[in-house]
Amino acid sequence: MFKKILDRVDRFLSFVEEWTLFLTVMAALISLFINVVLRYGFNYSLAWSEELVREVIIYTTFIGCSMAVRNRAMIKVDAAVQIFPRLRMPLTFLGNICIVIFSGILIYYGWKMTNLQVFTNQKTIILKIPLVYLYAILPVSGTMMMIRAFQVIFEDASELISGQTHGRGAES
Amino acid sequence: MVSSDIIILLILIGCMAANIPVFLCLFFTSVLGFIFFTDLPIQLLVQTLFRSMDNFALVVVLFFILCGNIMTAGSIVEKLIKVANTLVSWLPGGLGMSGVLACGLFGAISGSTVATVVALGGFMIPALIENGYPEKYTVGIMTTSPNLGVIIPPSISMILYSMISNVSLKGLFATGFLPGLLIMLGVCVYTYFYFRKDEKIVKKKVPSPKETLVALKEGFWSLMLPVIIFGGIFSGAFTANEAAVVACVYAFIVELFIHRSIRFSDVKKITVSSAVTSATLLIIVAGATCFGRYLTLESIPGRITEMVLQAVHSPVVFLLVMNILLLLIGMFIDIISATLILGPVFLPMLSAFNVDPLHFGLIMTLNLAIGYCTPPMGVSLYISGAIARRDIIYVSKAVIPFMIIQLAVLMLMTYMPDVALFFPALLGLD
Repeated sequence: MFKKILDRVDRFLSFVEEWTLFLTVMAALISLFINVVLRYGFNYSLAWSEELVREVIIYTTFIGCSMAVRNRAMIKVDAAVQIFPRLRMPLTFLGNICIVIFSGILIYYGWKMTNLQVFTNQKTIILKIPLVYLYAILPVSGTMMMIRAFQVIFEDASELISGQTHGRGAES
Repeated sequence: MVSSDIIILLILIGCMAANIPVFLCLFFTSVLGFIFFTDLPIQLLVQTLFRSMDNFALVVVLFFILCGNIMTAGSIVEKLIKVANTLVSWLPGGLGMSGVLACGLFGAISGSTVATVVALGGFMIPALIENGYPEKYTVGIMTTSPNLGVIIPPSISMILYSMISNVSLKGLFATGFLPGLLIMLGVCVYTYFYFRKDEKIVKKKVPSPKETLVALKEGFWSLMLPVIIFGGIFSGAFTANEAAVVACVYAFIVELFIHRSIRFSDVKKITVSSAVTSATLLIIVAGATCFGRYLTLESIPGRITEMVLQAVHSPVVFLLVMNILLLLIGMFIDIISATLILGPVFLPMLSAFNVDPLHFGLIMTLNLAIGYCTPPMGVSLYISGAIARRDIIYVSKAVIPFMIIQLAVLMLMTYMPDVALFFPALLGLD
């Protein structure tokens, strides 16, 4: 039952992550490319493309991090694990717990900062996007990252349990 | 150094050793620093984390990663290997030479080392062994040559170095070609003498002009990619950003419509995986910006500089210390994190020793790149060890001759700044 819910959440989050990343990156690529063409062909440039790209960078980085947690793709210093393979499991747990703490910080302060933007109602200079939508990425991606971290912890834990019942826990 | 500096440093090293993601090590260390040694709110750090991503220059990282991924998913890499093969495979040890050439060509388009080991090592190691090359040589050359991916521009670590140091990116890119070419030349010469009298390896005939033409024609679209990137950047037609964007669009068009090696449905997969890779790098930029903020608040780089100035007096000794230190660090920490963490600490020292920041950028990149395959801890050793199913001791011995070549080039570049800065000076970029 629990696993079923987890699978559903996983599929939903993957869907959101993949489409956000794909669409934002493509938007940045196409707008920058059009800008190059316009600059050479018509001696004209789009003022908003730079701003759009900066916003894309913010979005892809934070949403991409959620996916990186899921894919275990975060960059780490692997020396200790390579010297002592036994430490791999406990250190993976530690790393994921740290991600949970980090996403907690992101949610708490991100929420505070987003609320502040609701009050001040600031907008970006050219595209007039309310800053709320930009700052909202902090609590949103924080929540996603937290779910992803729990998911990975759950995976590891169930693997550890099933590994021990089969009597080969020591190797992993 | 004050005791608080040492505590912070130890926390950072401890976190890293505990296999915690690098950006978290940086972020948590600065959070702890903020709590214990300053009275500023943590919200400032979260704000910094967010604001550091609001930077147009970072987009170039994303697009060079995307470009590299399109090529690996499609057939551009394969075609580059083929061209390299046709050009040199008739020489003694030619296939080995084409391996190093292909790494160089791949490096001229992509920015990372580890990806190159996987992309090219997985392909070249079996091919070399099949053609009768000794395993030790094969493992050695394919473990060390991927370093060219970082040394030959466009290189992501150079992009980030130029961002933190404000040296011209064009100039820094220009410095990368000479060491890259020298390493390739060194490896080719070594290979030539290694196999000159060897009868066992499969010898190829000299390709006829027609065969060469056919191979070049087939690889034409792939070879145009570096021409667009560097021609565009160095002629001043494109900024680095624009070059990366144009290269991505070009690579997509070539792979989709000319080589027809990827389908439209692959485009999404490639884009998403590139975005994730770039996110893992950019979040380190964000973490390092937070850490840098703490460092400057407490004026730690200033104190470290003072300490170094008391201990070291001559530039030669300073550079030697840097070489050894960076080589050691490069063994443990990936080049992006190392550049971002150490850059702000080392940069203030340079003027005291009269070292050009542009020159130092090259030294740092070379050193950290070589650190990737330095025994006993370099990451590349473990990756190619896994591909070749050999243990770390075997791989460590295999890389020694190639390490010597790279270290020789490093020494040349470090102690002869005129040679190292020849290309940028030629282009008027120093």
